Amino acid sequence: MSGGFAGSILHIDLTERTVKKSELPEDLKRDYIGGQGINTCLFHSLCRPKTDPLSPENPMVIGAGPLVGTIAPASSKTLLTTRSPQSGTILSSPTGELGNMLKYAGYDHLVITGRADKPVYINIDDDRVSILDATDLRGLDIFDATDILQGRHGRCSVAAIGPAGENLVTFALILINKQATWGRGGAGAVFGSKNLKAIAVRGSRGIGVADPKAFLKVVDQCVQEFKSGPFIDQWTRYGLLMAWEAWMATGKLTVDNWGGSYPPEEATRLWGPKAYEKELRKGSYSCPSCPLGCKGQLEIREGEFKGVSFVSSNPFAISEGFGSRLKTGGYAWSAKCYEVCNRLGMDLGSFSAKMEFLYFLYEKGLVGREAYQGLEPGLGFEKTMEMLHKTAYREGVGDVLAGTWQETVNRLGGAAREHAVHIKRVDPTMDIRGYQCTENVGQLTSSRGGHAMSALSVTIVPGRSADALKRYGRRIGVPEDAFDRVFKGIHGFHPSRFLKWVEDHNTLLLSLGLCNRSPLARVFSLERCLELYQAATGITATAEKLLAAGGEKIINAERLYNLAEGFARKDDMPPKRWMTESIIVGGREYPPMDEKQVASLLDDYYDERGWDTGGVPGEELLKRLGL
Amino acid sequence: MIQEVNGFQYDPSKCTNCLCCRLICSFNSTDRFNPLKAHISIDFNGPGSTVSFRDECLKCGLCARYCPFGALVEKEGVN
Ligand code: SF4
Ligand code: SF4
Ligand code: SF4
Repeated sequence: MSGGFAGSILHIDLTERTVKKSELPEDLKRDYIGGQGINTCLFHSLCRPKTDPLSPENPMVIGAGPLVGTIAPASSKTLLTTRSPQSGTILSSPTGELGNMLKYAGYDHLVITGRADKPVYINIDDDRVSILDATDLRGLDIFDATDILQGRHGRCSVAAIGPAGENLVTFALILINKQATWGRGGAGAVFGSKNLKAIAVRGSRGIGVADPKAFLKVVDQCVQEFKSGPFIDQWTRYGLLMAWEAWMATGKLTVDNWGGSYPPEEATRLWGPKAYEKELRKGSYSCPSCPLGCKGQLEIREGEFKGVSFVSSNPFAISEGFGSRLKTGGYAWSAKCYEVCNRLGMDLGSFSAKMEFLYFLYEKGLVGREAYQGLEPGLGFEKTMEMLHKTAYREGVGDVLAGTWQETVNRLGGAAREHAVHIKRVDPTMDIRGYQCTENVGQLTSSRGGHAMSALSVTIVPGRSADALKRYGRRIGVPEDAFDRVFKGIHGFHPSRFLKWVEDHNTLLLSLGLCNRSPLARVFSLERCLELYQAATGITATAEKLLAAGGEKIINAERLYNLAEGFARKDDMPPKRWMTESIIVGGREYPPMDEKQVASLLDDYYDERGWDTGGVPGEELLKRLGL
Repeated sequence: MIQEVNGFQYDPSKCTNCLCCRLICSFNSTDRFNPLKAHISIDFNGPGSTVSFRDECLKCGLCARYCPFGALVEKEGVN
């Protein structure tokens, strides 16, 4: 018996208003595993060269791997693949909802092309698929639109955009069920460009697995091992805030346009775990089937916005984006900014970086005053609320911020370009000066621009023992003969060589549908992945083949897409500011990255991948991967 | 508020809406993972969440055993 997959692809053309269902080909299940893998393959076959990301021709592929919808721990990851309006690269963005419902309705993948002539939403209820009028939803924020659709269509999952997506803000996001994000990369603007306000999905068919007994046995083993891991309770309670001390030590809360870090004592008082517990946290929240529950149910306890409540996929981002960068104050204020940002439908990281940048230019007098279009740039709660609205509605200087980094610096003129901090036009989340790990180095080479998505690993917290690192490496598939080069260096690992293996493994998890948060990723060893895949689908494979098909091949396919669109080694370079200025973190000064250092990081990464010094995959490699 | 229903104790303050209880119940009775077909239902609303069971419930206790957060537990000696 086969299982895991729902078995179909749903194709919706918004221009022609046609809906078509096709069978999910058997060879895709073996050769691309699912989720991000099959998405990438479908995207490649549909997207023509030089496609404008905001044109009707840009295809949008939504897909969920063979474990999604089952009780495998944290198996809900759903990918959206498209050409990013923010970076211009291929974008595969994971989220924690929607895919289970899509699969219960009978579809592993949903392909959306074209552009509707007026606002519409898609309603999927098993076999009943309709393109419906959304004129009444236009202009509504994400929370209100979602409430209306869930009232109208019952227990369904809703992916929706807000005004920012409608107005094609290049970092507009999509929220699923008002909390799970398709965030950085601007997928919300792709919805907007297609006149697509939302997708509502309800499925009643469920998902079976090939070998139920074997499947539950592996699931039980995974859960047992998960429970024996360290700090699980803290993870559930605090999400990413659980590593607060490490964040303070590595300067994760940046200020002054990546010019320094927020004073740790003050930051801890305002947003540390204690303040979070006292002022904001109401409970924990899980993506479907997740035993970790790193998300937060939040409620503002004090002040003018007392009682405002919502679910957040990453409460730590409040202090990162609004608190430290934009100085919006404690949780009573910063969490309100976050709620408004979510309602309007913008990525918090990109918005806060752009707004902070504007103030930085103003304060230092780096561009002419006329660039601000009558606004006096500032920071703080009031200014932030004003800029949130101006940006989402593209008013005045908000319109300048709403564009890509390229557009923003062109329009601001003066010295804006030299001071802009982005990687392939995407705002990074971690500085690379100082401690280097797979996460921050991975932002340079990531296929979607400055984002650490597939680069997350245990190296994010410094000080892991050599044994622990090697144990982890063995589990995720680093071969013994690579150990000498991968596990060397002052921190016990080589950041860019280790990165290759971390990315392959994380991408495989997303092809299967599994979450890569570290307490889970450690459980999902390559062997476990194979056992889950085989028991769910009934397809036999080997661990090496699985990693190559669902991980390595996908990264290479993404690279090929980007190379064909003109991206090259030069685009893997850090922002100029990181190459010319030092930064002080926790009283210690870290020098800028130097050319040689960066060159060697890139050379080693390319080498580990089997790419030439220009970052181009070699013939032999492509042949081995079947590309 | 802790609720006592059908021989189970449910604590909304611990519930994360993970659906594991409903996934395992549906799998056990239909061989498919399908929360809509579970005999247990959680109406999730943060601390105001409520639990209910269908008459078809077999009182097998699997839902509680698979709850990762201790939000749903069998009342001792009941089932
Ligand atoms: S760890 Fe967090 S992000 Fe990952 S599946 Fe669980 S709740 Fe979702
Ligand atoms: S006791 Fe058994 S049958 Fe009843 S709801 Fe729980 S899992 Fe389902
Ligand atoms: S398994 Fe437990 S935590 Fe998850 S939804 Fe059910 S009762 Fe809530």
